[in-house]
Amino acid sequence: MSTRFLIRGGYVFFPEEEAMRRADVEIADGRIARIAQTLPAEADTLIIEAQDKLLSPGLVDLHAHLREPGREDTETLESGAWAGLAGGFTTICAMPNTQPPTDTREQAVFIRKRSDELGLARILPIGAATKDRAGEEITEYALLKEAGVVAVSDDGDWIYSAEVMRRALEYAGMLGMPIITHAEEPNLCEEGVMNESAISARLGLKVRPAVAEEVAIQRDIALASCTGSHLHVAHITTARGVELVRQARAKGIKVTTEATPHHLLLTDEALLSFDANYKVNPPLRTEEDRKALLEALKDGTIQAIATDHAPHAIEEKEQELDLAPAGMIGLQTALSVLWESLVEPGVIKPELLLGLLTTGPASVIGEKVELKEEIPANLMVFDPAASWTFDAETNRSLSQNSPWFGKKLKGKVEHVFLEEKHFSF
Amino acid sequence: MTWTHKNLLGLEGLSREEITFILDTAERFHEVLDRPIPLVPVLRGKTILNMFYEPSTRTATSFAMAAKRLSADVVGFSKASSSVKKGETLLDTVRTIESMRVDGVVIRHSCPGAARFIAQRIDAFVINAGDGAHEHPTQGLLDLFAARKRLESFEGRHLVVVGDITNSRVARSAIYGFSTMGAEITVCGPATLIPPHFKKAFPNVSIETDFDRLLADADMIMMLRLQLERQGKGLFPSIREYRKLYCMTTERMKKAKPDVVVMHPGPMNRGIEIEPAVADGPNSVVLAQVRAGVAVRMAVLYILAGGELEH
Repeated sequence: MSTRFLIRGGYVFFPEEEAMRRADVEIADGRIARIAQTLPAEADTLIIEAQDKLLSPGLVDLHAHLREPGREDTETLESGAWAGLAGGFTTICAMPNTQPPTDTREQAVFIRKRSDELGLARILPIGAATKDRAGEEITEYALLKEAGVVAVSDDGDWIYSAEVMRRALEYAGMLGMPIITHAEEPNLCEEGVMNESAISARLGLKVRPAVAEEVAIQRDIALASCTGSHLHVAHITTARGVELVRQARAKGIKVTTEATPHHLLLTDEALLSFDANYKVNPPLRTEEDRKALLEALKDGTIQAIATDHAPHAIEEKEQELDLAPAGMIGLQTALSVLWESLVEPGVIKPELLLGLLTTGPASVIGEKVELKEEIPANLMVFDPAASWTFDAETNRSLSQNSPWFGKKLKGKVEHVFLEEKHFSF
Repeated sequence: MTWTHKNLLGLEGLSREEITFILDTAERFHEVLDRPIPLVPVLRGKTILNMFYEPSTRTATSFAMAAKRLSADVVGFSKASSSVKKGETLLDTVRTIESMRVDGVVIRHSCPGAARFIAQRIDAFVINAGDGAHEHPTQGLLDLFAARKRLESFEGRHLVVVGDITNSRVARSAIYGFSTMGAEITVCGPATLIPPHFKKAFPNVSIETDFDRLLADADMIMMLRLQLERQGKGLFPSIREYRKLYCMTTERMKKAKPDVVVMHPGPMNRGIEIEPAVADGPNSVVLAQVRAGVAVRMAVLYILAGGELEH
């Protein structure tokens, strides 16, 4: 069946120009057929009125935990892909800390095959950097890459041995793959549940201090510099951390980094509620750190916003703060909460936000994001004015551990076009 | 005054009037303890549950005694003897308890926020008997009670808290309680045992690592129990060095005010943070604190249970 769509009057984000302008976009047979100021509607065309709405290439998430295999009660590749689509993401990089971890070609092939079968948001596996994520022996990077792995990481843990990290960088560099580091020095974070700050001093909670991130980033930058390989710093959170990345980049060291929506929008004051939904690793930091992250988005030190979507079962999260696992889900809410809190009040421009969610993350894994005629459709329509409630009814994830759960949000993804497929939300 | 709080989770946020109200109520119960039959029937028919997820002798006993002196029924468990060991979550424990209909819950737990976690989920009132390093409000109240017996007023009086500030709920509750009552506070201990952002968290509290500098000016000195296992974690190098720097010795007593009030929440490491001669000496209120503990807990149980006191 040939289907034609005309998305009319929307604000279109053109990633290569990093610009937005009004245009009509026609999709025919799963491809972008025409883009023009105004396009006439053909007889058999489905028209989508997009005045005051946004049309952008589908978003790319560099950092999601999809829990399959191992914890399918909290998320599956399917539910995660749906949550992604509902949030405007058409590409999701799946972190390897599953059970078993993605540390072999077979595990990576499983994810790629399942992703193809599902035909939802494309799931790209990130491979474990070391066998069983134990931080001791590097995995088969070439075989992993052949199976579709786009980067390697022991996310959740820092690769403790400097020697192993050095070899990992050398070997991945040879293959042109980035190493994604979870930069928190573990000895400084023992049993820690929140940032070290005035808030932790008041609450008596154990800490994961900013200096743990600083120490880890400093070492990893030194190793990236010495090997010449591409280091990607996952979920950066501290003012000192972004300053280190900024300086390294200025020296020409191949370092990229990402920030999460929650670190861009929330601070450790949220922990005053003792609500375990605010327990994340690395922890929410101070307002000063948050502001430094925003600055780093603007000056290009941070290339990507990544969700660190981390589903956990209710019974695990509804516990004492010390016992609850760290992490929050974010795929479905990222664009809404970022738009409402950063773009609407004018903190950052819409094209910057969209760049950080498309071209930025794609470039980290060596991909390109385009919006032009003749390419397969990979688009989403977002209505910044639409409001919706993120609750059991709308939630596409199998988990609900989010501080935004139960809240009314502004800005909603309404359509996603993936080649021949059209999803409405 | 009218009491408006359902729970006692901490001394943070309580007003001077509210604290004074509790202390004054405790004063009346303190007298009860002197009677031949130290029993008042004010909480007859009420059930108080003591949940102790951490080993505790004195606080658990003190709460049980306080409830019994008020004629309440007391049930309780400690971690070793309950289904907690079988892996039941705090939430399920709470639901189980709620369905048994108790009027009040006293909880001691190693995780900060645990008392609040329960209080948000049940109808019964909750008393925090210590949540990790966060707060231990009845300890703060009994410290105030015992110190008030010696000092007329706290206004402008100087309290020095010595020891492991980072990990001490006793210190935090003391800071909230004594500062609300008008005292000036200095915390003292090795730099490794004072939280790095302490000054920002408690702008009115001073920090000093040299105990000897504080002796001459202190009206009250609170010695905290040193958790000996912290030596293994490298937070202080040895007991002899700790003793040298922070033990309340008879030598140090000579440099202090003659009427300085010396407190210790117990249990004491005699000879480590406090010398026996000081602990048992005239300035020490250690045993008065224990006795105050029962009275203060009676007052808190009574106020939260909304009991009727005969005039």
